[in-house]
Amino acid sequence: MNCSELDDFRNQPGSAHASLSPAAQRHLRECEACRKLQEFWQSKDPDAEPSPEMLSKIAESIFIIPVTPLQSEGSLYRNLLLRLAIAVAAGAALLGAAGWHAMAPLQLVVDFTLLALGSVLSARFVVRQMAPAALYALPPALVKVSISAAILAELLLLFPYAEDPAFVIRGLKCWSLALLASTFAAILFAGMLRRAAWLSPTSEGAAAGLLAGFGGLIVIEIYCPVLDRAHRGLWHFGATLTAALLGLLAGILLRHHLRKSDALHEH
Amino acid sequence: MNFPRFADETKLESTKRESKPFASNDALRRELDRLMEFYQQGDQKAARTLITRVSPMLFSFFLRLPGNQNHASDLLQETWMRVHKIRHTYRSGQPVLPWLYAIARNIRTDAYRKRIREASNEQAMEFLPEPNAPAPVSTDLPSRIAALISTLPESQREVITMLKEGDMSLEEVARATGSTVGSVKQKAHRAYQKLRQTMRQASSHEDACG
Repeated sequence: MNCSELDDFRNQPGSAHASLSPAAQRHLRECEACRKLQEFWQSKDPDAEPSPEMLSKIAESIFIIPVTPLQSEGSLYRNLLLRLAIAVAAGAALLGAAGWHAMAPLQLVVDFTLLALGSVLSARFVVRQMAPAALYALPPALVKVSISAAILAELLLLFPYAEDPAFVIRGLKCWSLALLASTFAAILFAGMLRRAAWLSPTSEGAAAGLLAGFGGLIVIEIYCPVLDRAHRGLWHFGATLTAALLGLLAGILLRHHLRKSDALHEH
Repeated sequence: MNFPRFADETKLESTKRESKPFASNDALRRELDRLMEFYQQGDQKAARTLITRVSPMLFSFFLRLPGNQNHASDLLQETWMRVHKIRHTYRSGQPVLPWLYAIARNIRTDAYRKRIREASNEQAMEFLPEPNAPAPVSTDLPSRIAALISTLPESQREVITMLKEGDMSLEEVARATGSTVGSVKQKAHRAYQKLRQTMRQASSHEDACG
């Protein structure tokens, strides 16, 4: 056994009091650093105990009433996607599907597949963040950035460039409509998200904002017949980013509100 | 609605705490999970038992991380207040220890940032707490290694503290810290390497000095 293998053993729960294999014992005889580390691992600090009075005080200060636990992840996930679908359907019904009809089959398939994937993954992260101690197979930030970058790349690569004299006016219109659709989606999400733990309001707000942004992006991609990549890249995708930033801002405000509320409670 | 009461308290109370009460004991871990479920259902006794059982681990967690020695008691109380506030977010069937540690970690981070803000607002920059300042070194080996741990980067220090004090698995630490199992394993590995390297250097220095 080498140092690294002993480290792997140490990473198992209960390793401090588990009996060591002959190979581990042999290694500890040979490796002074590992021996010292193992001694530390098995030690307990006698001063690291809260007083019984403190524990009593804590137990007496909380008034216990039953609560309804958060729904299962699967249920919340379906609920969130349903709300997103409602927002998209409402937006498409109001604005129409001129964009859908203007796109070529390849553009339709790639564009909406990526948007669906982005929405599904974002919804998964939003639900996971509602309760502490979620397990992630991949870092959430990496996945969100990757999918957003993929969508932007697709918008820039799949669509041609076409000069537009009304670039700004048309663009602002699309940006506003996408943002309105995102806002409607966010309002639908809020009813569900109020039960979240909100341990990290800023990142949770940004995640919810990004998901709402994807909803707005789907609506505007269905509606907008302008196939210019600059238009779609800047104004359509820009609205998604704006929604994510607004979510972040909402998270900052919520964090401030929660801090004030906790401070008042303490006094 | 009538919830089942936590009736097995006497059985639990008779299980005397060892120096590592939950080390690799799946039955005791499941018991903690059940305590949390009963707590959600409004059982005062279960809540009290959970607080008694878990508080030493959380207290150790706060003590081990520099900058918090003087505030460990306050942080422990704040953690349980937050646990109470968001107890509905615990999902039955999930391990409760990572859930509790995630909350404790968040409380600790918030408290640290608050102290930084307050200190900078008072323009007393010279009194800013130094997060990597080692704890006072005593002569016994565990204390010396604890002091070495306080010099590790925060993310590695946190992982080592949870693995040791919480006796958690890599997956549980990943849950508590919001990262992946691979990332936690890497941080633990780097921390052990750094500790061994520092101990070897210290040992060589002692030998050289005679």
